[in-house]
Amino acid sequence: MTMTKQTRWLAAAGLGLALTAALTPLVAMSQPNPTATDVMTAAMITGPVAFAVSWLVLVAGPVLTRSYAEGNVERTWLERALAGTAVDVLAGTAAAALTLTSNDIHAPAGPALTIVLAAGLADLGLRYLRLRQA
Amino acid sequence: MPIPNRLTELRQARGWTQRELAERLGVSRQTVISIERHRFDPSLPLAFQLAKVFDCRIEDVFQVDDSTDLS
Repeated sequence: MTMTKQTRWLAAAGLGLALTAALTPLVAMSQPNPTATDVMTAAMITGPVAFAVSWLVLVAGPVLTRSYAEGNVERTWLERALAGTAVDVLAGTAAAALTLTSNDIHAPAGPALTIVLAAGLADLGLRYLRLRQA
Repeated sequence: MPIPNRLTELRQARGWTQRELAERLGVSRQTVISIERHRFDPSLPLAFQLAKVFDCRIEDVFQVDDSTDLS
């Protein structure tokens, strides 16, 4: 059964919401006594990641795995976006590591890695959209 | 810079929509749109597939001559 484009986007939005609802409490519980602000912060971190993963699985996935997927323009956009994001993540991580080390700042690994992941996915999404609209 | 092509002309001559052509090729409609607008060069296998679908030679789909910028 093939889903229409609109159905895939709706399903991705639903899955994104469900994943956000499921992951937010888990992230919020990384704090000893989570407050409402902690939950809001957790939702802001998990939301973009959950929606990006949902989009990748339900919207981009079917296009990128077709029989002639290597010929699709979407594959080219994704490859270009991934290449740009890889450079951004490396440069950003290097700059952050240098700043933290030189100022003797100790950041918790979990939230720091989550931020890197969320920023990387957001960067990838923006780069893909920019290529799509070019 | 993408190579000029006659995709729109060949497709319209057969009365096909972009979606129909995409289905015949097994690619996304966005791919057909991007090739027609000269924003995307298809892979070599897809170029051969295009020629096959239109029952012509690759040179009849893509217009390459001495003045074409292939850089």
